[in-house]
Amino acid sequence: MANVETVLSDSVASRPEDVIVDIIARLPRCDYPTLSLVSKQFRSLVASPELYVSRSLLGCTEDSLYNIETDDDRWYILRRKANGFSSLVLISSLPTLPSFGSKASGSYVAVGSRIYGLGGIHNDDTTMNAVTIDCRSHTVQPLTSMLVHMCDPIADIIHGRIYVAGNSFHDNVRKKVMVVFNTETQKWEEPRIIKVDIELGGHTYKWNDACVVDDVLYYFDLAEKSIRTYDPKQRYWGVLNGVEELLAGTESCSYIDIHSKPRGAQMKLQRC
Amino acid sequence: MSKKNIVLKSSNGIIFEVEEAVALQSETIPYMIEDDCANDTIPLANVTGDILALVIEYCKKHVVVADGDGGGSSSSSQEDLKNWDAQFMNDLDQSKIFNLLLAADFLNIKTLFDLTCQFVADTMIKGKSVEEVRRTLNIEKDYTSEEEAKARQENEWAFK
Repeated sequence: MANVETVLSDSVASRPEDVIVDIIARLPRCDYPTLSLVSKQFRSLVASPELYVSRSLLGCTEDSLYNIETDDDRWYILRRKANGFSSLVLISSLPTLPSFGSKASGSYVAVGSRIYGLGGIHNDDTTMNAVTIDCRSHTVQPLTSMLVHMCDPIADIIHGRIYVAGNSFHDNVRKKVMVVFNTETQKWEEPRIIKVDIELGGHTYKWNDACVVDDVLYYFDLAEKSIRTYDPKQRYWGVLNGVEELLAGTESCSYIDIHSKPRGAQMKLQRC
Repeated sequence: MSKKNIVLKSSNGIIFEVEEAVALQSETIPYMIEDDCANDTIPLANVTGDILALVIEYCKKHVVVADGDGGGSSSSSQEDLKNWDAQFMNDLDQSKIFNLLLAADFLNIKTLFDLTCQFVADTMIKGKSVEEVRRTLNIEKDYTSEEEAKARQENEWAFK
């Protein structure tokens, strides 16, 4: 019987391993754990970044559902079985991380094949820690510190940047602060800590009413009934003028962001 | 009407004469024609005659559809082509499939490469157990028991 590796390596195909990657990339991800047990070579191929580049190029990427349990602060993944039954199974390689429980509320943002974990409570204290979870290998890497303790953060990705805003307690005084992480450069943006004078969106953990147009963050401040803007070049929050009347009876605000026309963002106001 | 033909020579010296449009589905052959313009025979030192015959059979089938279609009602012919591809692959044994895959890679025939990769993935690996994959692909187990246990533990979630 032909041996795939012998046939492939005996032949001209100068890069037989690339051919194997091309085959593996076409398989559903649920086959990867099994493949990694086949041989050491397969294990290293399944973990290789090249495989995930191939999957992207071939359009073979899949969505996975991850859940952090508030009972034990552990991560679970939804496993869909061939017989149609699904279950949440513990990912034992991931450590405990701050969950959305009653007191420990970190915030998580999914970007591509990574999940960013920001702030929260660890060892009974608010943490400055930020981490990234690699969903391909199910490992955690630390990011450089947020430089500010933050609890109840709201965080979301808008145009490649993660905006994290929350409450910071210093000498029993509550301050609202924001930090911005650029996922392309993998660095925190300057200035590192931005003072925030907006009312944050309660316990939603997401920027529900925000968008970014030409680098300026627009946020609907329900308490003040105004649209606040944050301009990173001028480094301060402002208020969008001329829309007070329009906003008087508005309870929420959604933005329709048209990516192909960066200057053509529209706002849709919902009156309730 | 005369069409330009191209002569291909396999590694074991078998000669195939094909229409240019058939041969040019390979993105490698045009470079070989440029490099070797004095001689009309293109030697393919990496592809044996039986595999080259399969490659040509595939390219002939696919060139006909591309010519006759005219970009109009392509859905039925696309469907026919898909069925033909499936039958073509099903008739091959494992050794031929691997060699065809390598030939498609070497000759850079994208659709044939995609077809063979997907066929290997779907029929030899997908949904199979570790032992089945090892047996099908004839791969030796190179893990010690400890290493295997560790690898299994890393992916424990998937085996529950």
